[in-house]
Amino acid sequence: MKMDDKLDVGRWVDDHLAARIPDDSWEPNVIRGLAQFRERRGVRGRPRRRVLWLAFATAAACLPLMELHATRAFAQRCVSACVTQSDNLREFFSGKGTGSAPRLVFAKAGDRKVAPDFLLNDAAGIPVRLSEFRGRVVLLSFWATWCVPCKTEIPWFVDFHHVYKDHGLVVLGVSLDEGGWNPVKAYLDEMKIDYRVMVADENIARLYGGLESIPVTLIIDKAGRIAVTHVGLCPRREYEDAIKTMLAE
Amino acid sequence: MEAVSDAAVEMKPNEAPIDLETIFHAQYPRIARVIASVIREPARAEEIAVEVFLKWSRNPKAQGELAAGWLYRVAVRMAHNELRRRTRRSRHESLFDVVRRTPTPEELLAARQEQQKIDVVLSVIEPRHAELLVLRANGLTYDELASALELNPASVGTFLVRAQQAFRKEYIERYERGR
Repeated sequence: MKMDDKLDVGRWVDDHLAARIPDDSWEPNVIRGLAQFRERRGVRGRPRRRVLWLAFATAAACLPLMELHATRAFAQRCVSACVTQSDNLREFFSGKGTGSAPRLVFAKAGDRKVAPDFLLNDAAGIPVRLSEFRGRVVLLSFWATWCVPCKTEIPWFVDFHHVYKDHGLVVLGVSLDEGGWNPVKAYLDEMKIDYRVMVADENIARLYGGLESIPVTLIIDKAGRIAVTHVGLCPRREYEDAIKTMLAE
Repeated sequence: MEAVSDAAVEMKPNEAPIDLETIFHAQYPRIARVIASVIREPARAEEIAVEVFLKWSRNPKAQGELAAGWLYRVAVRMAHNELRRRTRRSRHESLFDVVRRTPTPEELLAARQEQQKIDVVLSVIEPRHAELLVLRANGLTYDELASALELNPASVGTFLVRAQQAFRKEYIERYERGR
């Protein structure tokens, strides 16, 4: 069989290669991959830790030399050089930077504050008042079209909206784009966002403590109180577990 | 109570610092799927995907706006290398098999399976053609292909047609000639 037509060749090749694409039911395990990634980056980081320990030991060894007038200047130089590593040492001892997965932190029921109420129009122009959703769990996401981590988590929220809406979850997005609805509406189509999205007015950031970094995700309990506030990205599983916990409360 | 992870960006559009793990979260599934589409072994694909990200994390020049393109390029190359290694190995093993014993009917049947033919074709055509076809089959747009394989966006279509023709030609020569 001879195929001169480029289009047919293209289709023929596409058909042959299509069978190689993994089944949609297979989802690469991001959490396991991330754990391996962290572990193996950590192995490479060990020599750096050794340097930190050496700096610390040198500084400690130089301290007695400062007692003697003749060696004081030399000791001071050594110690100051080692102290420049102090930030790294502090991080090392405090365990920061070791790559632990971000986790959602729940406020105890008694410590939860009522979520500030707001009234904004959604993309269809229909007013949305946060307090209307009392009795349901609300996942409230502050995001923007230019925010890369937001682009990661939005498809998760779309899934949560589909899976848990009948179980009492409401997903709301509040865009902090300064350009108003124009970029946001295009983005809603691009990302196929079908939960309700509003564009923030000037009061929203103030109501919610400034919102200096995004994404910010709040999970609001059925009584309208903030149970979880998370700044940044968290593994999907964390959000999903939190939603299940809140729905079960 | 508020928890803050590193994967947050300050409210300054276009100046957002992105950490490695955010990119990992965003890209790992697609990268692993691209690799799996070449080597057809999900567990190994995940291992290679982690290797890709490790290389990327150690290469500051690969981080930033072009990270996605770099990741795809390295992923498809590593996957392709793995496929070629396997094809070479299985060819050698099959040579020894012929000497040692006659293949069973089941083995002959398996050898005829479509995916194994494609393994062979992908591993013998020009690596650049194979990379282009695999990434295209994974749904990358022309712009993404241009970024991943460092091609002129205006030439992607031409390259793709050449790659498809090379694939088709190799396939026919190996498996359909004389039928």
